[in-house]
Amino acid sequence: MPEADFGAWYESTYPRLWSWVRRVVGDANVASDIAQDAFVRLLESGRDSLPEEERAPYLFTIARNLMRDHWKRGARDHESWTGEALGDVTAPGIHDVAKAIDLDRALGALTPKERSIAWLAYAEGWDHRTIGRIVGVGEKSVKVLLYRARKNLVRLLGGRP
Amino acid sequence: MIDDQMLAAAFQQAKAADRPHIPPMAAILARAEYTREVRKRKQFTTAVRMVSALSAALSVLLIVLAPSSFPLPMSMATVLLLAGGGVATIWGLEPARLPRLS
Repeated sequence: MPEADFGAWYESTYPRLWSWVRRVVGDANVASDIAQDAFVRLLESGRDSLPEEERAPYLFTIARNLMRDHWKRGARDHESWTGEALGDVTAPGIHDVAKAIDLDRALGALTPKERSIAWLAYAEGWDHRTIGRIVGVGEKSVKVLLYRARKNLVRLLGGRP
Repeated sequence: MIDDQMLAAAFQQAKAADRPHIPPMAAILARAEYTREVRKRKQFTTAVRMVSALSAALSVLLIVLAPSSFPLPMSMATVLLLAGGGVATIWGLEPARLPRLS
């Protein structure tokens, strides 16, 4: 893949990957490390020349495996994540920041798998099959987990389920 | 009542509000190249070590079983292979630090 094309894709995909990883692991610094490692591994594997529609899910799958390794090392108890301050994230307006904090708090109350699936569905707009491949569960399980995540999010964000 | 569209909008806003520091692509490319090189060296080192170990084991076996018929060229070959294994091990050692990405 030409370096210029990869550069443009990298610039647009890195923030997407970082945002997802940060919501799942709940730590901006860990998210940066994992996002960088995921790109390095993608390049190492030679799959950077995959078609665009396959390349991003493949990259996210690498990041999912890296998150699993991170949890296996016991660096953080991922089941007890309750959200963090926005840290190095700066938002364009105060209302957006408030909304982002609300959403982050609500996501923090979900299980890692639920918030992972919810982010991939609502922020990335990927279908159940692609999400299942990334997260490592079946399509039916994605539907169930997404339904549960949605129900909890609606309750936590103040809407009646 | 919050519907799917409202949820999707909230997620999109949260995503748009994120401003992560993007490391320079050159650093990512350099690190990928570096790890590829390290892996290549490790593979080579492993192969040389295996040949050295096999050769040494065979020599010891021959010395024990038939000391009088142990051929000199073979013992020299073993010494050479062991030395080669040592050099390959030193060459293949991973440097202590990966390049920093900032």
